[in-house]
Amino acid sequence: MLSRVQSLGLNGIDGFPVTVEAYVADGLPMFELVGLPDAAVREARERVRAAMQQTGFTFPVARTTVNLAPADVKKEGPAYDLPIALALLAASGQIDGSALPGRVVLGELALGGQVTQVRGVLPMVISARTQGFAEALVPRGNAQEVACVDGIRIIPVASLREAVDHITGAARIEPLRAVPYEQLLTARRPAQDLSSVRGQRSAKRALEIAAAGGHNVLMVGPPGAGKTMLARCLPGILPDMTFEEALEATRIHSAAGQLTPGEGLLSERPFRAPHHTASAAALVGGGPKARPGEISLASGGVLFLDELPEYNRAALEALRQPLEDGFVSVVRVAAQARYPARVMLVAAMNPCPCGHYGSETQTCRCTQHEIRKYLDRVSGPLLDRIDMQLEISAVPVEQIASDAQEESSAAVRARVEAARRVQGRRYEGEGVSCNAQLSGAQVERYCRLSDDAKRMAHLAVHKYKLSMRAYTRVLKVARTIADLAGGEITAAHVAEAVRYRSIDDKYWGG
Amino acid sequence: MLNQERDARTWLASVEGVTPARFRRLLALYGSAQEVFRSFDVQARGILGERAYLELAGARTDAYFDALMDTMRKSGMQAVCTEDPAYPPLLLHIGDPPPVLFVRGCADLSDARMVAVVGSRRATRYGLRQAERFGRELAQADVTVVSGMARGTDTAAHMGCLAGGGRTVAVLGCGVDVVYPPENRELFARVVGEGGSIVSEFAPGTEPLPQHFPRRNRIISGMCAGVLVTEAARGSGAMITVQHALDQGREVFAMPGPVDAPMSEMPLQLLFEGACLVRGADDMLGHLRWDAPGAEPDEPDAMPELDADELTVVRLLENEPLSFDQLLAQTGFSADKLNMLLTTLEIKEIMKQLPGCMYVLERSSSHVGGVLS
Repeated sequence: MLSRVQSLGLNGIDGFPVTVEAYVADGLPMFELVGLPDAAVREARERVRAAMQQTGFTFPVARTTVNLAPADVKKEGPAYDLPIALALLAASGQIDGSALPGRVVLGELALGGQVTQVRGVLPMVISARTQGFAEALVPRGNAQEVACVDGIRIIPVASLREAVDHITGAARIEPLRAVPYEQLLTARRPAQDLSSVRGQRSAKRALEIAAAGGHNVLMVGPPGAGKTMLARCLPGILPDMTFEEALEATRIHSAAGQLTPGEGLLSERPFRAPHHTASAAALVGGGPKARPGEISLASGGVLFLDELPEYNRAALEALRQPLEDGFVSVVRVAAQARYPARVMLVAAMNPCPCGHYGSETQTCRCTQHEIRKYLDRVSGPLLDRIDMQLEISAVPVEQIASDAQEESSAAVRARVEAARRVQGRRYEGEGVSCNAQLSGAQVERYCRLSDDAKRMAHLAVHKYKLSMRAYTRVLKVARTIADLAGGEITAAHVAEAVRYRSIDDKYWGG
Repeated sequence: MLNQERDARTWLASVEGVTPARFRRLLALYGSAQEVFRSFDVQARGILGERAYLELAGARTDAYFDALMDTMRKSGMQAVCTEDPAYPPLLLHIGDPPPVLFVRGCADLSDARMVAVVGSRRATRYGLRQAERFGRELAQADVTVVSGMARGTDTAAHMGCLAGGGRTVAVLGCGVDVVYPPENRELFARVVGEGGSIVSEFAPGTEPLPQHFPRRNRIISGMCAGVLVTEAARGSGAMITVQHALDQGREVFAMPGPVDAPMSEMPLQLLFEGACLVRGADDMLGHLRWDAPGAEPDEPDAMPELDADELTVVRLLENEPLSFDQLLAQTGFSADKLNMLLTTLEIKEIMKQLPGCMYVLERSSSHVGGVLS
């Protein structure tokens, strides 16, 4: 007998339909699995056999063929265990196969018959909805991540028995009720709140501007000055993710198998801090199956690179294109995929190899030559993509101990969101959403200067020897400062924007 | 002195192992350097020792001589001998004056007023700022600033002197055609291009070996009337220069620094032992009984106008450098306003930012004070 169960495969962060066909016929008992299965899929036979027997069914003793169509696309992972089991049960006449069409099924089986969670359920279920399926059976462990998807009934199943009973109608399972996104947002709490950072007023102000305009940031300062702590605060002062952004971020994390079990849609902007030994493939994506890299996992949030000069040069250079374009295409022999990569890059570095250059309390042991060599490891083209540079100095102990009131992330976020709204309105139909994304021509159109501001800009260009590029970045940052203040760019805004380029000539001016 | 004799002495001094003492004994034995070249024989072995003897015997060829002259001509190098009027007059009177000085840039080293500024290669910001200021003030007082073109203090002193439009002399521990440290290539070119001199007793092409620097230091102190130590930790090379200065009977000046800073340890020790305390170039001029220069190049009317907020910031910075957070706490301004003020003050060149987020006044507070009153 022949039976069919619909399931799904994953390519990048998009799902595609896979039909699991089972054919049980007379002949010498054997089991053949075809349709380009990988090792995990091929091993499904053993899991399915044990699960069926443990659940009280018999594994067909006959000439059995299972086909995963389309036959020319590689299938990977254990998500086909449950559909294969259901197809075999229908093909061997142990359950009624007529109820199977219209449903998609995903899930790995444990030997005892339990359904365990799999990778990439969210993107696969979204594609099932697009293809008009009415119902999706997903592992209960994955239920939370797909709870937000409406337009398709989500049936969480915990075991093969539950799945069978639901399909045959013996015991229907209630579809999951969609949790409104707004409700998820209210539960959000930032991992690190700005109010827990003492002092560092200039850095906090700079982060607010960076968040408001989506500008990339480079922090230079001695070890222990609080660079990492400040960077961790950034997701908390960025505006809330829209539902689409949250969905996209969750899809990427789901595809990479990076979601915490039981956790639903990501409502907090991602914060990724890959170690500096990360390879180019780890940062931008790759591997034989073209998996997403750190920059894609950070999409919609913050990619934090601590100890910037310690990163492999090739890895840093590979970040340039995605930073510019907002997506990355990973092409490998076996697969290819295109992942979103819209991140705010926050980089941190010491001012010199020993870290104490310019410190008040510690003596720097590096020679000028060593410092030069260290700084030169950061390439110019990468620096060009960083709008704001700020110097962080260690906070004196007295200040750490003081109990002066520090502003909370929520208060800063309110101002950031207001500034983002102004930008959203101004750039409607321009294809950009924030000041950092402005092209050269757009800068000219939207960053008009008053006469006063022009005079200040000329003085600054002269004094700090700003290049044309650096000048353009000053204008973008000035635009953001003006948006925070709610008005046009004034001389004061330009003057402040200049402060975030002034490291340039101190460290890289040569 | 005849040109041939100068060339011959240049040749003799360039040979490795011919120390100033051996040079003089050879000259006494043969009568002239030309004679050494012509009739060098086994008698010299007693003076030179085996190695230097073989070295000199090997260098006694026209090929060696022509190559040396060629190298010097190509890089615009000149030789100054003890008999030349261009030889630094004070240097003649030290224990073992170098018989020949190789010079690039201005070859006249007979400046009337020369002072050395020396200090640590790892000077603090305070030390660098002061070395730069002393260099500038001395230049404005028409004093030639001598130093060693090392990193840190030396570089700051040379730069300050050039900024003050003065003449500066750099004495190297390597050949004058070797740029060391390499990052000073630009400074090197400026010294040569702006009327200064690069001086060394070492032959062209000599590498900067550690043992060269203590010897070099005796020339720095030897050609100067006084030596100023800005900053030096215990064991610093600058103290070798000071020792030479004391042996040579030169004036030793020391600049006070914070009493608990390691970099101030040696200057304070010198002050304790009776060195002359200096706060600026005027103190040095007075002590050396040199005329102070004419009117101070003080232009209070060139001082840009400051508004009330800017003055608030300037007043706070008068006493000590402050960080952003300290300024914020003491002025009560908002972060954006303070950022704006800092840029305008920086553009007006009243204040500058140092590495490590510290802000200092660029003009002395007296100038600013003039505006306040």
